[in-house]
Amino acid sequence: MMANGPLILVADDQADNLLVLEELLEDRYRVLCVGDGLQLLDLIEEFGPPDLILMDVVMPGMDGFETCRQLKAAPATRDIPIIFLSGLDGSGDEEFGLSLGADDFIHKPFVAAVVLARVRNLLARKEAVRQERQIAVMESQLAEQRQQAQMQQQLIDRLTILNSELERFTYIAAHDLREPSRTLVNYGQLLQKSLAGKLASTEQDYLDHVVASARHMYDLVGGVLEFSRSPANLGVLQPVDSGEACQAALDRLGGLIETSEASVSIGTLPWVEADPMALLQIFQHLLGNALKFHRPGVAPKVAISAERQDEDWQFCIADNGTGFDAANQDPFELFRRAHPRDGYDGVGVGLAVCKRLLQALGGRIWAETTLGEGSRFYFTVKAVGLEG
Amino acid sequence: MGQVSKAPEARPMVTRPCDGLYLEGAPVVDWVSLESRYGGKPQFVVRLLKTVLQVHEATAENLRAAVRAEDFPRIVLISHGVKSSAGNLFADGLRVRALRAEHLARDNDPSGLAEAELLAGDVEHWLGAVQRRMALPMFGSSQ
Repeated sequence: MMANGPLILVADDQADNLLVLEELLEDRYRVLCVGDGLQLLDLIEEFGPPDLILMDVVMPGMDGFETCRQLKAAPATRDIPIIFLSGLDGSGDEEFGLSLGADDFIHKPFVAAVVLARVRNLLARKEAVRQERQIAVMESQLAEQRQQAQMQQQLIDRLTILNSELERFTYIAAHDLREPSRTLVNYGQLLQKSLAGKLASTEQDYLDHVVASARHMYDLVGGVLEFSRSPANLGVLQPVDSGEACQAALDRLGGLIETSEASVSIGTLPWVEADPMALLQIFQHLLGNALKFHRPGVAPKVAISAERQDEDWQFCIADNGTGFDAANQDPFELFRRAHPRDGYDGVGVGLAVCKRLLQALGGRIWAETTLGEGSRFYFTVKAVGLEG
Repeated sequence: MGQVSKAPEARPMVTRPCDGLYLEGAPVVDWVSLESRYGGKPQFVVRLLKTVLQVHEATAENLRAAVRAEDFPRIVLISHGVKSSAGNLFADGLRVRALRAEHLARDNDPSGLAEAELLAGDVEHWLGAVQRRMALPMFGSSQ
């Protein structure tokens, strides 16, 4: 028997008939033989439907006509092609067999080539029907996927609108809150000056707290403002000299470099596909942190380098500063400070802004750090001439 | 092998005095057609012949019992089986006889009893020819 290929069940009560049919079919198909209709139904129940049934009509137990009727009545078996192979010679028998749903009726004695041809035809027809059904199922799945994609797109569109509205609200709220908080700081400072030496120690402490808190609020609102508008300000991506952006950032940080007596080394930096202002902002935040978070009494050492990684440039800003506890905090989260209870300035916005800008540029950012030894901040930006 | 086998019977096979179904001297089984159909598979032919002998071992006896009992449905069933096997073995004369017996018995025609009786004899004759054929060393010659 063939190991593969369509499975044909043959039912006949005479052993010589089964032998002849098995010999005829076994070179091309898998063949299983049974002695009557009941055995055939049992076999199907046990092993599942075959690809085709060749069946005698006159059999003891359950004859071929009754077997056919039962097979055609059951949803699981009604599609199995059935060929009657019978010695019955009345035209009424053939007509009756076909009326029960059989696909063909071959009279014995049969011509071997004719049996093979009819089996082949029926199997081909069955395969065509199977393929058509498969295609129909695939088309239905495809239609469902299209519908889901359409629904997802609608959801994305709605979320985009909501997000945009939220960003606008945040920007407006932050912008409008900043002015009164600045006024609070200014008038607080004026009060500190005009009341200097006139207040009791406790009252002076209260006033200092008011001013410090107002200042903190001013910085926080400023951070929200910067964060909310950071991707919105992004222009069309263009080739940018990252060395120039880095130098511009260092220029802005000149005072900090001078006071901290930092030494900064810059490797060869490439041209990248970016927004010049965004890249400058990223350098400014990362270099600012590297200069700011230095160990007491240790002058900051900062090294800036870049290396090609496939389609991106990977930048590294390494410092010898304090490092931070990377296991317990994500410094790229908004208002999450790497050094929350120390004396360093800042509200925890810079790294969150960097992350947001780099996401908008198609890059990413991460850090490696060791407490007390320093940190390495990495980020990637697309190389020039590559499309995302 | 390298040797030619000869049929054990030198004289031609003649069936009972017949009614035109068998030609005198014609073989009961068309061995040439049978071997041609299964050319290259002599072992299969042996297996088929053995199976036929087993299947029809009691056929003649059963047929005669049915005749005695005038059991027409039984005659129909047995004749039908003989007809089928005769077709498998290219025994056309026997097949025609079985067909006739089946038809007459199906119609409950009394002449079907006589036809069934003749069929029983033909079956015996047929099985005898099959047995003799099987005695040949691997069917090296035609009967």
